[in-house]
Amino acid sequence: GAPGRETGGPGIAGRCLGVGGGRGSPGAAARLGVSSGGLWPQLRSPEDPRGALLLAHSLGASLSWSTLPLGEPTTVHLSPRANPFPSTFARPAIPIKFSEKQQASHYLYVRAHGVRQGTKSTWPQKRTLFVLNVPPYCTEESLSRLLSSCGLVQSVELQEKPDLAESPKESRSKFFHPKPVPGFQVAYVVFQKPSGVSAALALKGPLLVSTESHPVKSGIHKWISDYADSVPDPEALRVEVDTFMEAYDQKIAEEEAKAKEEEGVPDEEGWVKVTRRGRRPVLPRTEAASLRVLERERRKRARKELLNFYAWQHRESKMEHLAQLRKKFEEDKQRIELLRAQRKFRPY
Amino acid sequence: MGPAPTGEQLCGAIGEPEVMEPALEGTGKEGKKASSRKRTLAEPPAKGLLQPVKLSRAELYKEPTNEELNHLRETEILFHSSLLRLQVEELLKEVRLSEKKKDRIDAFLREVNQRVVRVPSVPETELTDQAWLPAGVRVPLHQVPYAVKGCFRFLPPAQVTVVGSYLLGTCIRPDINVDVALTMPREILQDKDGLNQRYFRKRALYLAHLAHHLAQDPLFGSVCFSYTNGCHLKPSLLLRPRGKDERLVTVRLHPCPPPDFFRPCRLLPTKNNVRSAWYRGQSPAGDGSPEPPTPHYNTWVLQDTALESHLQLLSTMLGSAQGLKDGVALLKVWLRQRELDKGQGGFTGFLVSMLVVFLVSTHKIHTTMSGYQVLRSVLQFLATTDLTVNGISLCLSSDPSLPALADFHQAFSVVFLDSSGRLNLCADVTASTYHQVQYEARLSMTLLDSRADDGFQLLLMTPKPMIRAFDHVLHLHPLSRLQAACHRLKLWPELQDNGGDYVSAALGPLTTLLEQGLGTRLKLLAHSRPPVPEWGISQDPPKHKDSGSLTLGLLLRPEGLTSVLELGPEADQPEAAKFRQFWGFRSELRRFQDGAIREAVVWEAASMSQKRLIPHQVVTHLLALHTDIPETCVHYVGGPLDALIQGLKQTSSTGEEALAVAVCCYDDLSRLLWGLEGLPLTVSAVQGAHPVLRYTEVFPPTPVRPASSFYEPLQERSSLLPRLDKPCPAYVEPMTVVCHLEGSGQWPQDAEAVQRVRAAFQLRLAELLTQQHGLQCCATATHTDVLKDGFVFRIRVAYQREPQILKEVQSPEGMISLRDTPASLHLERDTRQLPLLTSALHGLQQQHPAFSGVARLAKRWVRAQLLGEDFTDESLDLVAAALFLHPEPFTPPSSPQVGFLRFLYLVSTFDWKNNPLIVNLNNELTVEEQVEIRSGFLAARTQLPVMVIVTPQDRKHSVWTQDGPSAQILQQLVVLAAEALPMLEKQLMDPRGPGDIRTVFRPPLDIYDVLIRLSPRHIPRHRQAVDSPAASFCRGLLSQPGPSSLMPVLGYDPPQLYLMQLREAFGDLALFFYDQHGGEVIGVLWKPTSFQPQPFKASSTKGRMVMSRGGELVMVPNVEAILEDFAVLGEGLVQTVEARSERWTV
Repeated sequence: GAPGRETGGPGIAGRCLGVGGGRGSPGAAARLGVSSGGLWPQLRSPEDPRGALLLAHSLGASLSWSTLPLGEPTTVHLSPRANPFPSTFARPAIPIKFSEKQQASHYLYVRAHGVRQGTKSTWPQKRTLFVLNVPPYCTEESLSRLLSSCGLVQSVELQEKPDLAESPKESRSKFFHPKPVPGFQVAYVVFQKPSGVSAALALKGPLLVSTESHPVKSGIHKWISDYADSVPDPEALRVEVDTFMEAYDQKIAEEEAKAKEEEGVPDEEGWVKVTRRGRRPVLPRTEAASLRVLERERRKRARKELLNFYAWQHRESKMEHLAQLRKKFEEDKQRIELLRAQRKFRPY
Repeated sequence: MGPAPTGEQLCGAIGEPEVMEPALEGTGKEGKKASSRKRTLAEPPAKGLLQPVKLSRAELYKEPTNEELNHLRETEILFHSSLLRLQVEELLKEVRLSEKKKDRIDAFLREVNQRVVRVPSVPETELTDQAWLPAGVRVPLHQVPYAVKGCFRFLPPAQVTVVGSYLLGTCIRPDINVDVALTMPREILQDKDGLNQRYFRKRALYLAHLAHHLAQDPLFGSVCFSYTNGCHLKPSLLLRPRGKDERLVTVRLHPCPPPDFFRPCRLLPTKNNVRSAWYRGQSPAGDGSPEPPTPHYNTWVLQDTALESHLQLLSTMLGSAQGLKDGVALLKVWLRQRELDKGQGGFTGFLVSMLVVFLVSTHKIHTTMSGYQVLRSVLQFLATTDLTVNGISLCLSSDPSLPALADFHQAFSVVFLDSSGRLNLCADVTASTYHQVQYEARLSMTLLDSRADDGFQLLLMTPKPMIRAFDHVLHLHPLSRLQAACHRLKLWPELQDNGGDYVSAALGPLTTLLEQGLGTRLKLLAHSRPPVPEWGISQDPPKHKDSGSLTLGLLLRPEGLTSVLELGPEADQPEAAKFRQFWGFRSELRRFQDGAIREAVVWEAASMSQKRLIPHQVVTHLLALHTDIPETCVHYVGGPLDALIQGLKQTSSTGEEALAVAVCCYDDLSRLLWGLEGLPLTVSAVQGAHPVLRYTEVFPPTPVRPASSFYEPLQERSSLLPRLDKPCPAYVEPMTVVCHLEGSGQWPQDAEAVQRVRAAFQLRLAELLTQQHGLQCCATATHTDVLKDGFVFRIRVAYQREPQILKEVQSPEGMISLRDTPASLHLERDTRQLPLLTSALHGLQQQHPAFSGVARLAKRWVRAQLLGEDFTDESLDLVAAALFLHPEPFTPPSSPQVGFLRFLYLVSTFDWKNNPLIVNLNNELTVEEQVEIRSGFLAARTQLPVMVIVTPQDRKHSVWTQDGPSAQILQQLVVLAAEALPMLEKQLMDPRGPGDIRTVFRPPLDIYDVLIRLSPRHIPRHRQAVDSPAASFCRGLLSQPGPSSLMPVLGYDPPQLYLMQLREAFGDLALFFYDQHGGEVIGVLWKPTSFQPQPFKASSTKGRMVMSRGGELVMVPNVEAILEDFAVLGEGLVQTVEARSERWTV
């Protein structure tokens, strides 16, 4: 039988949307006069989710580490060999190794999560530990286990780069947004109590990611289990698609109903919104369409123009030809100069 | 190993990043490589880059001067374009002799003249009595037979004249030669000296005495003998100045008889001047038949008498016309680039000058023409005139006593008479050589007519060595075998005429034989000309067999290569006997489908690569049959490189057949898809998007038949999984196929929703294929994998408008505009451009059967050099396609070998900085569009990738090179190609066999900072390595189809997974290099900037640690931990991590 209403005929027919038209952008402005610039924003939906997203990003970027309160810089001059654990610096560094077999270790740089006044962050203040330089083999579970000695860990989130907002959990579909291969990451560790953060800041280490009791897979073991995980499960995928599309259909149906309601109803200033669902098709309000119109205009004008009709036109076109030749000559000379510099005229 | 930081060292490292490889200096080759890499790093990117020209308005529109107008007009009339004019002028400047050097040469010539006339005379002796010759000098001539009548005495020359191109001003650098004619006094010569080599013996003795005296003079740096035009009877003496001028000039002394000494009527081509009785010690076949004519011998005598008259003719014709001289110089460059003027019987500069004179006298060239026009006219003449059939003559008189052209045609293969009407200037030129000249001229004319932008470069600046110009090459070695061949072919008269030079004597009949045998398979056959030797005056002249080897070049006709049959005449025809005689025992009577019974020869060849090598069978068979040259002496160079792209087990095929099987299976699948019932939208098009489907996958896939015991079955998802306790299973790469659906207005218009609907289509597709055709399928959100006949295809459903939806951006005014986003570009590339490219290249393969081999060899080489991951598959395929679509000045390659050599040449010489590589697929771009693309390229150069490849579908962005290579990687490839090309060409041109052909495929490992060695157990493609291992692990495949029809393990390649992790984790610090075809080692190179201490920032902590430097906290890479991470991430795969810590300091 049909697997789901997405691929069945009626499923698609249910979401009847025009192909040629733009995305719900009526030609109202074009029809009602371009001068209505003040009105147009009112016709548009007030929130632009993309704009909001952009804002968050720019905030995150403007927040740099150097502006945060740091400890006093020390003047200790040591090589790492002499002092393998430079945690004596003001900045707490916790050595971390994959297992006992390794000689050298990486260093986790940790500090309590805090932001400037006025910046919003979804991570709870005081209880969140911000960790830099988490090695690629360190997973969320192992980090949680390693830090649990400092206090109960509520959640651990690994991210590619510092980001103040907690990433939205629901968009992480296993099928449509697969996890990228991890490199060195940053982590936000939320403890249940603020004391966990201070305990972690004082942690000496070295931490071991993989121990006998809690082995972490790497290399061949990891790749084989990754491969097994990646073998797709069609049923789960089908269920996910169905749920998503149901929600989507509902959203579209609501929008449609709203648009139908508004159709033909003048707003307080008397403007009528024309949508592409109207009876007469309108020009889609896209850049391509407006360029097409301009081009047609230009061609119409060019057809009327007379070429080389007056003496001055003739003279000018001759001069233009000469200028082209001169330009070409200059270009050629430059090319030759370059080839000569590269000794490209030695035939053998 | 590990960081050993001190303040001073670090400061140095900050100042100049190149200090990173100090350990390399002084170790020969590595040192050189390092320095070249250093140069790339140090070079500022803007240098040597063309900038768009900016001229002010006033500059552009000022009133033209008369002079400027004249110049412009001249350029328009006399040259193609201003660029060509400038190029020609530059080239002439480069090859012409400077006035300063001329003065020095003149001074040297005066000295030579003084010394030559002062050489003391010797009393008269018998010719055979050579005891008077001093001990330190040998006669520069093979005196066979030794006994000859006549007396000799030395007297200083009656006249010393400079002849040839030096006086005319048409000689070109380098290798300036000045020919000096020494007129021997009449007293030396006697009557009948024209007979039986007497004149030549005297000439040789004359030179020997001269050489002895001149060699003692401190003026000369070297005094040695050579042959005039390679003729073995006519030695000449070479003099070079001593000291720093040694390379400046070579003065060649040619003794010649006094004017009017020989009677021209005795030297006609029909006359005999070498008596059989003397030469062979017997009279010609006792029946009183006449002596055989000796046309070549006669010509060589005549040449000496005509030196001065030729000079006079040339100087009157060319003397005052600079354009003609320029033209001759250009033609000489043209000939030299094609190696046509070298060796005995070459098409020399002198011949070209005479040809210009001929064209002037027939009013085809006017004296006011420019050098370019002269070049063009001569090429046009050569391209359209066959001098082997219709000879030409400079002689204007209609004297009835002169011999007819037909007489000359009988005696010589190419006929071009001088103004006397008795001397054939082209006497030594073989028909093959002339045909080669003609062929080259024809190619050049097409090139000039095509108005290509870089015509000059291709015509005059690109060398065409034999190995790169011909599809197959064969060496005959040792040459002494030809002596026997001459006897077998009954060439005694020719030997008598050539003074015993069996190589020249055999050349003509040999080439005719092979041309006839190769027939329709052959486009052109060319032979190398024996080089003109030089030897010291105290040595005997070199023997004929010492002139190395004879090399023949075959230019094959691709359409003739597929046939394994030589069809002969019907059995009862009289020609049948001839056919049998020609093919010997290979000729058999066969009955054909149309009922005819014919003589035929059938060659054994099953695969494409064997068919390509049928000429090898033909050549060895014919040479053994007709000339007694055994197979061991024929070294055929046609397919030594095939071994690198041969399948793992079949050594008889280079994979074209296996690729065809896969493509055939794909065709079946697309038929199934078209006929699929039950999809809401029907399939409108199925397009391949994988290298296999355009015949360019290096190792074609074989049907997979997994052995179930080797895998962990995952029954509920009907898939197989790799097992920990077994070696890595065989690598199976699914072949991507893009499936377009009919248009519909019912798709959602939201990117996320489109993805979901597409996923639903993928699921549905899998279901229907399983239901209706019983195929094993596996659907994911983005594709459906289908197992068909052992091949796995990855079907991707595409929605045409999806890239547009991804591009849509709404401005605040509500205007929707389209802006490229990474996601939309990626999707467009995968679903639109890649299928187009695949089908275009698939078409190219149908036109040029060698394309597959060339592209695969090229990719194999790039990957073997560990650079494969920086170049996309498609970009390399396009470079290979360019060799076929823009072969100028060559023709499209018909063998993988020559194509690969040209690939190396293209890569090593192409100026990527200033030129886009235009690949005009299907010839869609017009000349005007190409010009537009070039100018657009210059304007946007800084935004474009390092390597720009333009196709008709992709005119601006060069999508296939967007993500790499970087400038350094490209430079590294250029350096490697420039080293590999001469090495490989030398190997292939070695007459004793190419040796180890894999040498150029082995990568240099000493340039890397860390080497990670991998365990072969977990390299699934281990057997594809350049040096294929004798034994490898079982990869869980059966030779017969097994019961299991579960989906095999797809795309599981541990080295690739490992590299992905390494690049993600340490990509900021280091570059990783690996050969995906069975490489056992990963090369790691630290980035030059990665060891520079950086301030502490949240974004730059990756793999680094904090250190205190001069009171400041900085971050440096935690090298020791990183090296251990290499081992941790690749646990099980990595054998050792070899750090060459001497190569770097933190």
